[in-house]
Amino acid sequence: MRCPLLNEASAELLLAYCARRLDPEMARVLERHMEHCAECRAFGEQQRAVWEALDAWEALPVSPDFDERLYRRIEAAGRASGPRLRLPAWLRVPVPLAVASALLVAALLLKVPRPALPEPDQAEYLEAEGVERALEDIEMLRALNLVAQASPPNTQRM
Amino acid sequence: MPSRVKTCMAAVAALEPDAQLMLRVKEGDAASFDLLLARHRAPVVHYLYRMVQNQAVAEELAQEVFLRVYKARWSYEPTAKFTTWLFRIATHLALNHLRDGRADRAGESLDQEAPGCLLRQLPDRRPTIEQELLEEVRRAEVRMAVMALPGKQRAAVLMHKYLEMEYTQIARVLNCSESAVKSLLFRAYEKLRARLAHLV
Repeated sequence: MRCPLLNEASAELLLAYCARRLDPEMARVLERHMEHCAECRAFGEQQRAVWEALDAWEALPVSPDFDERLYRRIEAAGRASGPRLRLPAWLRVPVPLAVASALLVAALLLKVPRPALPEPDQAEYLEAEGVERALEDIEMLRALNLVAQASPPNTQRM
Repeated sequence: MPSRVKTCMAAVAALEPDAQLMLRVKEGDAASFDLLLARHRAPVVHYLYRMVQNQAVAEELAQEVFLRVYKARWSYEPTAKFTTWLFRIATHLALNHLRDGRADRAGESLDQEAPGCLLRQLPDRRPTIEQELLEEVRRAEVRMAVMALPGKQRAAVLMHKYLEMEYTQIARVLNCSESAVKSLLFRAYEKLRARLAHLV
């Protein structure tokens, strides 16, 4: 068997062995190896010493009023944020999207009625203005979509 | 019962118990939050205590962890193990605390007695006093050795040793690769062996 101490990745075996997380078959192989390899034996003994030293470090008990203090904080946080309108989860993404779509449709509808054909110069001006407005609408829609995606926040990523 | 509802119920049933509880908290069930708190209060406080080595600060940070969990209940989605999320918040808060140097400003830990301080607290000279002193010196050495580790190495060791987390979960908590966790642990244990091996 190759000495696990030869590289960092395989030393993981010895760490797992000392943590008693190695499967029995592999543990037996490693024990046989350690009988002959002084280096691994020393590593194992030192790691076991660390493991036992850490075992001896007991944490203190949690204060009996921990929950009470937490519930007070939760209550205070609830009061500070005030009553908030909460949409059901299935409405949280579609509603902002629907609002964005409605705004876009409204913007398009406002452009539809054209009373008369303008003069060529004016038509060019209005065309440019229309393109500009359409670009603004697209920007706004993009911003709204970003808001919709950002809400609710992804808490898994903190 | 519609098949979609059946599928959803089967998916919820397949979730780990913590995720099921958190989904109930999301639906407004306060009792489920109590259960989650009862289940994870001690592990979170103990983990934070070993991270910052001050019981008062650890409890304060743990309160912040559970407060954040409660506040985020509306947007909770069981995409990862609940404990991964929980300890990710805890680690984030602890590392921020250590990074800000608040641990230094707080001075000596309230509960971290230096061996010299203990001498003054000894009530009498019972026969076991030497043994008690040795044990205390030993514990102080362990605390100092762990405290000397960089924040991420410390977090990795504590999750590996005391929370018995797998490399994959530690990697998710620390937001790094599994190989990076193995490397962190290898280096951390190497330092601990150098400092603590004489305690055999």
